[in-house]
Amino acid sequence: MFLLNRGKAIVLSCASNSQASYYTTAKRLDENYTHFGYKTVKTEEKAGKVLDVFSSVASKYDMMNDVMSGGLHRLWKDRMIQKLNPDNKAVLLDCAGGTGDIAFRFVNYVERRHSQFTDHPNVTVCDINNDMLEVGKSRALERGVSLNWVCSNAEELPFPDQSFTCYTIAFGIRNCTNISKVLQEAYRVLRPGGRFVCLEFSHVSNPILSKIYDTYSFQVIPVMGEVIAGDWNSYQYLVESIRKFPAADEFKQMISNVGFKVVAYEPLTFGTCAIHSGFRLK
Amino acid sequence: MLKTFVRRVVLPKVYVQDVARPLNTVSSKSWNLQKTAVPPVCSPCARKTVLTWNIRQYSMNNDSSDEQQSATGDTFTSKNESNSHKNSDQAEGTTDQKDNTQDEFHADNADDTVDIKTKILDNALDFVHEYKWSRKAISSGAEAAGLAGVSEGIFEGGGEDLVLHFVRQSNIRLQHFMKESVKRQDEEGEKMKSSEFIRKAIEFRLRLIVPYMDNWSDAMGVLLRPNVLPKSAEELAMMVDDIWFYAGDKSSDFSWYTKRGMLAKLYGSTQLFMLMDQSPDFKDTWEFLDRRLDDIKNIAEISQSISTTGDAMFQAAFSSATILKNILGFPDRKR
Repeated sequence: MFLLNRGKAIVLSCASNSQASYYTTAKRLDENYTHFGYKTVKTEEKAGKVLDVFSSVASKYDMMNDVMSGGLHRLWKDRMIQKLNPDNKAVLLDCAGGTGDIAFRFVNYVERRHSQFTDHPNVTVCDINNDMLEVGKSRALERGVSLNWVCSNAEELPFPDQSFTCYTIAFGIRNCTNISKVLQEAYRVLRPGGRFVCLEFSHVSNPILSKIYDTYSFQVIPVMGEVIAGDWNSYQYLVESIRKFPAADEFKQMISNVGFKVVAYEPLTFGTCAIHSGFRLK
Repeated sequence: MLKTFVRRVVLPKVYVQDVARPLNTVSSKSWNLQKTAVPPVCSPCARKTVLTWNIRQYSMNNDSSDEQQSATGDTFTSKNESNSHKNSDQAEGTTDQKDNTQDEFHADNADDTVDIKTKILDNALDFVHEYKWSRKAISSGAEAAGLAGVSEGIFEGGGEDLVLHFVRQSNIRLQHFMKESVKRQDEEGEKMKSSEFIRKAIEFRLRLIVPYMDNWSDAMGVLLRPNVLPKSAEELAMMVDDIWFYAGDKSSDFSWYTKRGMLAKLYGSTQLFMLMDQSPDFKDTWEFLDRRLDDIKNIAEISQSISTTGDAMFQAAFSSATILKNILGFPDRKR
C-alpha cells in the first residue's frame, strides 16, 4: 500500500513537471532570466530556489551522495585534495562546502603529511545555505575539528582581498547564478600564487557511455531521491543543472578570462566530473 | 640505492683503466663547497630555459671562418617547455634566413608565465640542500619568490621539473661561455685545438654542478626516470652538439654521430667520476678528463693502423693461394 502510494506520488510529480516546463519554456531568455535546471526562472529568484533545494536535501545530503555515485564521490574529492597538495601554511576557503567534505579532507591531508604544526590549519567553510552549514558543524564536532563557518553567497564574499591561498568549490559552482562573478570573487580573495580548484560534473565524451549516463541520471536518480529522501524535484533539478553547466573546455576558458593562469582540467570517471585548476600568479 | 649501484657496478668499470682507489663514502662534511664563480645568465635568456632542436643550416654563402659567428645566434630558438606552452609551431618555424635579433626570437614565445616559473625554480634551487629535488623545495622557492606555496602545483612533474630546469640553465650558461670563448679566440686570432676547447667546456659544465654535489646522485637518478629520460636525453644531445659546434666541427658524414656519441660518453663518465672525487677542487676529475681525451685521440690513430695492418695480414695469409692462382692463369677481376 505504502509502495503504491509512493508510486502514485512519482507519477503525479512526473505529470506536474512536464506541465510546468511547457509553460516556462515560452518565456524568452535574456539577462533577467536564467536557467534553473531545464526551467527558466528570473535571475533574482534563482538563488532563493537553490537555497530551497539544498534546505530540503541537507539532512540526507551525504547519504544521497553515496547512493547516487556509488561511493565514487569520495574518490573524486580525495583526488581533488591530492591535486591541491596543500602544506601546513595553506589557508583554505571552501565555497559551497556546507557539509564539510572537502574541509575535513584538507585537514586530514595536511595533518598526515606535515606534523610539525600544532593548531589545525586555517580553513573557512562558506555556504549560501545555513542548513548545510549546520550539518557540517555537527560533523566537525564529532571529529573534534575546529573550522570557521561562514554563511554567504559565493558571488559576494565577505572576505578582504588576497586573504586565502587555496579556494575550492566542489559540486557547487553549477548552482551559482553568475559563474563569472564567482570566479572573479575567487580571483579577488586569492593571494598571488594561490590556487583555484573546482570539482564539478562534466559532460561524458563517449557517446555510448553518455547514453547510459543519461538514462541513469534521468530515470534512476530522481526515483532514488523520491524513495530515499522523499524529494523528486530537488534531484530532478540536480541532474538538469549538470546538463546546463558548460563543458570542460568552455569552463576552462571562463576561468582563464577572469585572469587565472596555467588553467587545466582533469576529467574523472570517463568525464562524469572534472577537476579544473587555475593559479593567480600576480 | 642509486648511490650503491653507482659505487658497486658502474664505477669499477670506470676505474679499470686507472690506478685502483679505495671507494670512500661521500660525506658532506668533507666537501668544501664553495659556490664557484658562475657567469650570470642574461635575463632574456633566463626566461627561456629550453633550446629547441633546429637543424643547423649552414648558409652556402658563408665562409668557413664566418660560419661560427653567423650561426651563434641565428639557428637557435628557445622556448620554455612548460606544460601549458602551446606555441611550439611558432618557435620551430624560424630559419637562419631571418634576421634574428635577441628580441625577435624571444618574442616568439607568448607564454606569459615563463618569467614567474623561472623565478620560482631559481629560488627553489636554494632549497635543494634542505629538501632535495622535491615539491617541498619548489614550494619553499615559491614562498621565497613571494607567492603562496601551493603554486608548486604549476609544475606537474614536481622535483623532476626542478632538476630539468637546473640542467637546462646549466646548458645555457655553457652556451654563453662557449660563445664568449669563440669570440675571444677570433679577436685574438688564436684558434684553440678542438680537444682543448672540449676540455674547457666540459670542465666549465661540470663545475656548475659543484654547489649541488650533495644531491647530484639523486638528480641523476631523477633524470633516468622513464618519463624524464626522453627530455634529459634530449638535453644531453643538445649540449653535446653545442660543444662540438663551437669547437668547430664541420663533419657531414657518419663521424657527426660518432663524435657526439663519444662526447656524451666522455661527459657521463667524467660526471660519475666526479661524484666520488674528494680531491681538492676536483683535481683528480680534471686529470681523469685529460686521460680520457688522450685515449680518444689514440683510438683514432689506432683504428687507422688496425685497418692497414689487417689488410697486410690478410694478404700475407693468402699469399700462397694468390701465387697459385696467378700460375694457373685465373686473372684478377680488378683490372
